[in-house]
Amino acid sequence: MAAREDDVADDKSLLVVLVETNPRYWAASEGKGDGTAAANGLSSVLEATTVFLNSFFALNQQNRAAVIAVHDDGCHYLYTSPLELNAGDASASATGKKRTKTATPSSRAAMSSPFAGALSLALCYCNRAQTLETAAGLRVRPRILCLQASQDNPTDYISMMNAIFSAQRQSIPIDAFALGEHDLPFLQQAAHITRGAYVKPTHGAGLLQYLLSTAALDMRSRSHLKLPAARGVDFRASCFCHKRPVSVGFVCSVCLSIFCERRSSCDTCGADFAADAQVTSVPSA
Amino acid sequence: MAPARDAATASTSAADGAFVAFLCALAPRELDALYASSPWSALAVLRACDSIAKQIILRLAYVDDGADARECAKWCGDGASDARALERAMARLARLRVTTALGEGEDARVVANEAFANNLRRALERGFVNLDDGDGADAREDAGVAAKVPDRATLNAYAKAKWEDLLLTLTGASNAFSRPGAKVKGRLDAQALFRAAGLTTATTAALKKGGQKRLKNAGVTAEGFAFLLQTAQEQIWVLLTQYIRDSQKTSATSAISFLLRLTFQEPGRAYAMTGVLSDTEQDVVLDLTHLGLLYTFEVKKKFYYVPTLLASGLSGGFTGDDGDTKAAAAAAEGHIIVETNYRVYAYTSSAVEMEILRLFTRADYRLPNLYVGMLTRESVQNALRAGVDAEQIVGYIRAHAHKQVRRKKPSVPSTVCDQIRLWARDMERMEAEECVLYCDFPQAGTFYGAVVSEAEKRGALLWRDDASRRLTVRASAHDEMKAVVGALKQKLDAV
Repeated sequence: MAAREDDVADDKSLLVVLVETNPRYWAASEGKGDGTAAANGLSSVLEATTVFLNSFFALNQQNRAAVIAVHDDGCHYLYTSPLELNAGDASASATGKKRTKTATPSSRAAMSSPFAGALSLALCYCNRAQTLETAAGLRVRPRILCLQASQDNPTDYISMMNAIFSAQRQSIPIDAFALGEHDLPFLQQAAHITRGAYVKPTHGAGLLQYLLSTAALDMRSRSHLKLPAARGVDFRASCFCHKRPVSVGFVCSVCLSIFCERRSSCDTCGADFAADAQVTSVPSA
Repeated sequence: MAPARDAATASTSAADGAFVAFLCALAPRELDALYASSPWSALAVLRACDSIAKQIILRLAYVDDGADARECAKWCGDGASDARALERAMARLARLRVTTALGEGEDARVVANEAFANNLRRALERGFVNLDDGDGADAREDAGVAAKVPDRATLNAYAKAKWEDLLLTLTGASNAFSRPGAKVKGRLDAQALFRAAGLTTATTAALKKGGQKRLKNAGVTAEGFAFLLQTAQEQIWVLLTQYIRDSQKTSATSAISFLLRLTFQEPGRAYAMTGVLSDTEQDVVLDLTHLGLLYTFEVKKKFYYVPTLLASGLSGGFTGDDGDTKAAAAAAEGHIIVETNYRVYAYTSSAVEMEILRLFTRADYRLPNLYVGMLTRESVQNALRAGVDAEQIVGYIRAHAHKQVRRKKPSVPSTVCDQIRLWARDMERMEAEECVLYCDFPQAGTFYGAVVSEAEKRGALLWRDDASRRLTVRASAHDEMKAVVGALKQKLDAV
């Protein structure tokens, strides 16, 4: 009987979608990577995402969504559902804000996009939404969907892992879609740690079907329906010194920083290893 | 109205919601016509399903030749309960004719209904705007019309007042609805609707006309009491489905599809009526106005209607068996605080909310804006005897929990919930069964033992006392046993 108390039929969801819109990547990759979702171009990805979002709204009147564009110059909200349910005038904000962005040239040749920043932004948004909705006496279950095509940016490793662990702490699952030809180790780990799904579509043209059958699952049906199994998650950590993925590295005994080569003192916390060989070689993960 | 069908509808509605139950009762031909009629009906059906069925629909919507049935069976998790949940959802979809199973054995496939999938795809791709080709006439531009549209608060108050009047009519505490057409131009007879839905009995209606208005609750049936505790959304569906069944047998599909379209229209926005809607649809609008789902007004000889929150909440999504998921409108305005000492405080001045609380609490005080009552064993069991379910009581106080206690989880003390369930179980401790006592067996001999073993074999033995050589047998098996006992007696006598 006690179990019934928690048995709340609750499929009101908040979905934060991170879409990679980095013009540098999309311009460079046009038509490349046969059969992947990215090969059909950004517009086909956005089309699939739009239909998917419509179906998400169709599932429940109280479903809420936010779309964040992961651009080369940062992250931008493309769309946010009105959050306070009884806000005086819902019709004014119902359509959300549409932004048109022009790519601002930056000196950095950024082929990868700031997904760590986007994840943090999404987590902040989830937190804000939850606070607001709880005040209104409702409960929403947030989840995050990442659509990434470019490769991971190794320098993002630490901030990415921090974002992933805070998502895990808030029990927000991260669903990850690898649109390009490469696997994305960061997102693989994100999905694995937060118990989301990692999908690398083999038929890029069917992206919508992939989205509908995995990313549309709300928290309630996740307890009954299976998510695609994760195969061969790349658990390798990146070293803190050169941001290279390492399978065997050196770990600081004080602050647990990872280095790819032996050093006399820790770069992060300054612990001195010179006196005796305290740095031991261990396989990470 | 055949009582058998009523019973069937009531039993499925507990799990499915009134809308799904109603759709299941439609003929296959009518369902197909409904799915083909508009994208709105496809969307409304999608929303009415439970979360697993929704996922199945989404997975099949874009697959023309369906999915392998054995593959579908692998969708669920490994637990037995997961498989059952998937099976239930599949069965529900098959009943709704949203999916059909093709082929047998190895080639069995699950295919989505073609018309349904087409309309659903259309809705998903166009994003719920301008789905009706003829819907382009936006009445908002007209300044005269805009001036007549009531603001949100007025509209909500209007809808709420209407609905409470309706519920009070059901409990017999008001007669606002007993004279059809007295206030509004609708021709809907709410009393007849209640009677047809099996919520009240015909005799009280007659009594009421005889002037005995304060004969409180006398004619309300068990379903009627259960109805009072449901969410407004469920209540509306119960009445609407009954309404469709009653009034327009011939044009049921068009009436339903219009209703479903209404549920997606924006509350507080005026839609043109004259010249846009068919005659059937205009009739429906008038009746719904009477129920408070719509608000109608007239500008320059043209009629317009404005959906209220009651109408828009209809396709809000699946409401499970607990009242926690509720239309957004009601969620923010809870008024009940239940303390661990079983005292119930309800900050309300609404007569119908007090009437409902009176159903299962002992009324202690009543102040202008506050009702104070006590959940007692007696009061709860009275309600249970009247036909209310323990889960319904728990669901009701939880769904209407005050904003202050809603922050806590659980919003209603679990001791109170458990106690209500225990009281309900208390009533099931004793079960009466008709039986026949067999006694006066000879003190010696095997006759008694033979009869006992025969009764046991038939599963008819309820009680036995070997010392005094007596046993009781189910009354239903008595005739059969009589013959057996006679035969045994003859056999023993012969020996």
